[in-house]
Amino acid sequence: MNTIDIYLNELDAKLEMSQRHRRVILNEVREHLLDAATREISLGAPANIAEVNSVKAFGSVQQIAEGFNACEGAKATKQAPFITVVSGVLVFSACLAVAWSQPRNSSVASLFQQVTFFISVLAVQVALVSGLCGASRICSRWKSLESSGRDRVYVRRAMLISLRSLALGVVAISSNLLFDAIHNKNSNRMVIALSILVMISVAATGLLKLSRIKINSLFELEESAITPIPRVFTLGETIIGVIKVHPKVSLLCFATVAGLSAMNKAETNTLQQALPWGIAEVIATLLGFYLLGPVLNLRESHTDSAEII
Amino acid sequence: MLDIEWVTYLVYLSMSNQQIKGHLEAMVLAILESGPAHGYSIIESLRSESNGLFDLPEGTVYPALHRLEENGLIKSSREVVDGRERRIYQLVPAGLGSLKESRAAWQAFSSAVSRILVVNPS
Repeated sequence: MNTIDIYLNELDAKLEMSQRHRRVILNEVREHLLDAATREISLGAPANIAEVNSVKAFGSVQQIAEGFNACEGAKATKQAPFITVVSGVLVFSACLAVAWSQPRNSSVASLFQQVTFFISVLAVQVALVSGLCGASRICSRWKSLESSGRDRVYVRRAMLISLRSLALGVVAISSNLLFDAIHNKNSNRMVIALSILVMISVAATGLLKLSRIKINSLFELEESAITPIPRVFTLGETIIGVIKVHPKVSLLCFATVAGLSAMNKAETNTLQQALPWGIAEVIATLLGFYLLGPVLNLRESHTDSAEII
Repeated sequence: MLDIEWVTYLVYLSMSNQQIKGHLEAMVLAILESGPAHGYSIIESLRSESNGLFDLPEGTVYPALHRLEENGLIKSSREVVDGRERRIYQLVPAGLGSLKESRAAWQAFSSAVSRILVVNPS
């Protein structure tokens, strides 16, 4: 085995992408190294020295692999929100199908149904917020050719939180629907069963696909140049920046809107019955902001816990 | 008195490899503006045009080429030359637009540096 083959084998082991793509890259690198070696030989160098020199001039395996992996990671980063959005839309469509297919029921929902519905709504809210955070970062770097490892870590983290929350929401709403199918004789059980199947499959597939995406390679670029982009693309990042600067005011606004909205949507007959749901929503919003704020870069963290996920 | 060429040369010298890498894509686009080329000849052009000033490993150009292609600024095709398969890169209209933007940005930057260095030589 000559020097060029050894180099190509080492590069092959460090490239993190599909086999087809890896083959294209390795062929191209081989052609380059052969060209360089031929040039050296034409200048009078012995073949073995020419090969060593061509490999040396090409760069270290680690450096070259880092460049290709970062390129692949940037591509995968743009796929992540697509997977999340498709999963979200499909789950939402399945929910709508159930809602439209069921007969109108005037009786007040049971506590179990209210609790599971509340959990699913909370989970969807978390999915939406984290999904928007990740999408904002991608939008703001849309025209940049290279995305830094730090950006990609953030996007992957936000999208994973989003899909995990969506999966939790699916479990909660599925329990709710199963309860309805068992206790309500008039319910359309076929549609319920189909919708649960679709929702669980979509959430599981989305999570599986996202966790298999190789957004981050072993070797990362910490920073990269950011290409200027129209303001509309950086709107999300601007809003995140405002929240970060004024966390208390932002949280107060969010908690108030969320609490009032929960009370409005609660399937209760009186204001007193709706109040606990409003309070629960406010507490959940405060807790969510406290726990997920540093992870999603919505507030400053006093610990390094944000880097753990 | 410093002239523009010297100022540009000094700006280049003060740049680290990482900073040069930031302009690599634009330089590759500029080379492809004169016609389609394969990786090795692009690197040769970079070396000769810069009088050997850029001390980047040759291999760093390939990820840049892949990034440009991924972003639709260039396209590649396979050709067999002298019995060996080569990947030929070609500029597309979007790449030409991007090159114009990069040129304008670089001219604005270098002329700003020139104004300061030429007007206020230490």
